Amino acid sequence: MKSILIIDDHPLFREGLKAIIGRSNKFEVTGEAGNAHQGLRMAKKYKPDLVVVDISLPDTNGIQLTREIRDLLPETRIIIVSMHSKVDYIVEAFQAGATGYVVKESASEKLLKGLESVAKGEYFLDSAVSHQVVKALMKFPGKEAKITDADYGSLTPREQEIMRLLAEGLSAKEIAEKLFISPKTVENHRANIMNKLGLHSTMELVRYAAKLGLIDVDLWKE
Amino acid sequence: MRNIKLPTNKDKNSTDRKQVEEALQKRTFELDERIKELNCLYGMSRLIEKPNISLEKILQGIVDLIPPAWRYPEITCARITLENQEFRNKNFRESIWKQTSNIIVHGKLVGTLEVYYKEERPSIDEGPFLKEERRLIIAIAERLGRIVERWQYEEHIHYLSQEQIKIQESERHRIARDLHDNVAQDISTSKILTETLLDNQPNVPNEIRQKVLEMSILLQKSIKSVRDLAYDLRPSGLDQLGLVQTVYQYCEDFSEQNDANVDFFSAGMDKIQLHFDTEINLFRLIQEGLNNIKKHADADQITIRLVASSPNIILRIEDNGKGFDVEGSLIKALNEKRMGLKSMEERVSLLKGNIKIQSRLMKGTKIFIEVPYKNRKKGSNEKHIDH
Repeated sequence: MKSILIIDDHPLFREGLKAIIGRSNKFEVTGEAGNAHQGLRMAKKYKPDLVVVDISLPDTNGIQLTREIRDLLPETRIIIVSMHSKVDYIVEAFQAGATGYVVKESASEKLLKGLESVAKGEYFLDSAVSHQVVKALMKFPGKEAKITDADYGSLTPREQEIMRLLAEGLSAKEIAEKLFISPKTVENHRANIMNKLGLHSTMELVRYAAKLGLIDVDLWKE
Repeated sequence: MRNIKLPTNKDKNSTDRKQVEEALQKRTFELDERIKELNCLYGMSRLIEKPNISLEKILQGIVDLIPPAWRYPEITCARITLENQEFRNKNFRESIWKQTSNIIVHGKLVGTLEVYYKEERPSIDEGPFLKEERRLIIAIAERLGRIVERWQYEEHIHYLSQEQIKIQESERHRIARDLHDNVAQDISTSKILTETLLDNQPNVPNEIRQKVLEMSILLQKSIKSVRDLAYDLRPSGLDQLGLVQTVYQYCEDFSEQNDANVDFFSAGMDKIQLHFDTEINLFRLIQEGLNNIKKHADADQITIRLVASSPNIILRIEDNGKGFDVEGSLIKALNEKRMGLKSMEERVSLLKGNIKIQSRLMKGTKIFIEVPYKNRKKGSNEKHIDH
């Protein structure tokens, strides 16, 4: 029999979890806690094989608690049972050291399966959320590159400011006057911008700025 | 001097002519004075009709319209005193030759309008001033009162709209949180309790097991609806994924649900930690922009650009839809209580930014928004819209 500690602040929900776990003779609930503080204390004391943790707890959140339990008891497997079904929470939970994730409403179908997998040292992800996770995974590598511009992101705030003024057609001298800096400083910034963005002419810079949406070259005349 | 020579018969014709000429001169002078007064009043009208002009600019403008309207512009100067503010001409100087009129706002005396002659001039109706000038100064002071009243009303409406946006946002947040953390939580608990209700009860008739199963399915549906509702009210991703990812996700969902391709691209945003108000309002602007397009534009291509351009953030929302008449549409929107564009304008002004809407019939609409960004302050003084 594997021992289980339940940490969730809703007593009725804990009742439900206990009833579900009670269906199996492989597990036994040896402790329950209503907040992270109490949960951590009981984990230290009872060293359970498995911990069932909610993300929303009245004191610390369950993800932080997961980290603490993992550091304290590396042998203990942690499974998150949460209302949250968003990918970011799930990713964070696994990063914190949980090896299982079940959405609260599917606990009665999935929890036992999850506990069995996790107890064997496997990962378990609720099928109610797995398709979202896979979708996010498939988008992941190209996604940043697709929707943001890393080169422009490397410009300093001052360079951003100067780039826009250059793209709007101001000369180095005009920019210098506007920003109360020397024309030489503007030229330096300009060289850095061109270098960071891999550009060779003002024309290219204007085109680049238009592509980003810094300027609108196709303004309809009023 | 020849003019006052007594007429002789010989001179009769020329004397008549002189008199006529004099009368004409007098009338011309009077007409010139009236024209100067009218110019001043028309100038005031034009001034207050300028879009987005501040009260300060209006009052300074009015004070500068006054000297040319008086009989001796070169020695005339004026001052408007309103509570603790003062507006005067460049070369203003007090003197003993003055005319004043009270400025009344909402029935209360709030200031004065003074006109001075810096040098002595012959006494006429009211000291050196004409009786027409007395009427003019009263007219100007009265209009000043109405201008200040109108401005105060507008400020108040503006303030109320912004408060409304803030309150709406914090209410949405509260309801979304309650739905997710309490309602969905309780329904989930009910679902689990329902599903374990008949554990270890071998003698329960199948009919009842079937009913309990149906309850569980119904509870599952409720959880999904509550979740969707909470997500609509408040994009939880903002706190977790940040603005760019959340907008991207929203655009993807929008593309999927509507027959329009949303091309979203962002640059330089990951470096800045936006203030929460800026973040949520930028997200709402995109949401409202897309919803307006969906409702009215009939577009199939939408472009959204969100770019940090220190010290501002630029947001462009463009579509290739059927376009509309911007001015007319704003007025119509107000009359029909369709607040799409108006609410976008209020949001932008809440962020102390500016918005430009351009539209061409059958070509589409371009919305350009620029808001200054403040980095999110670390520490306890942060004012969240939702707390």
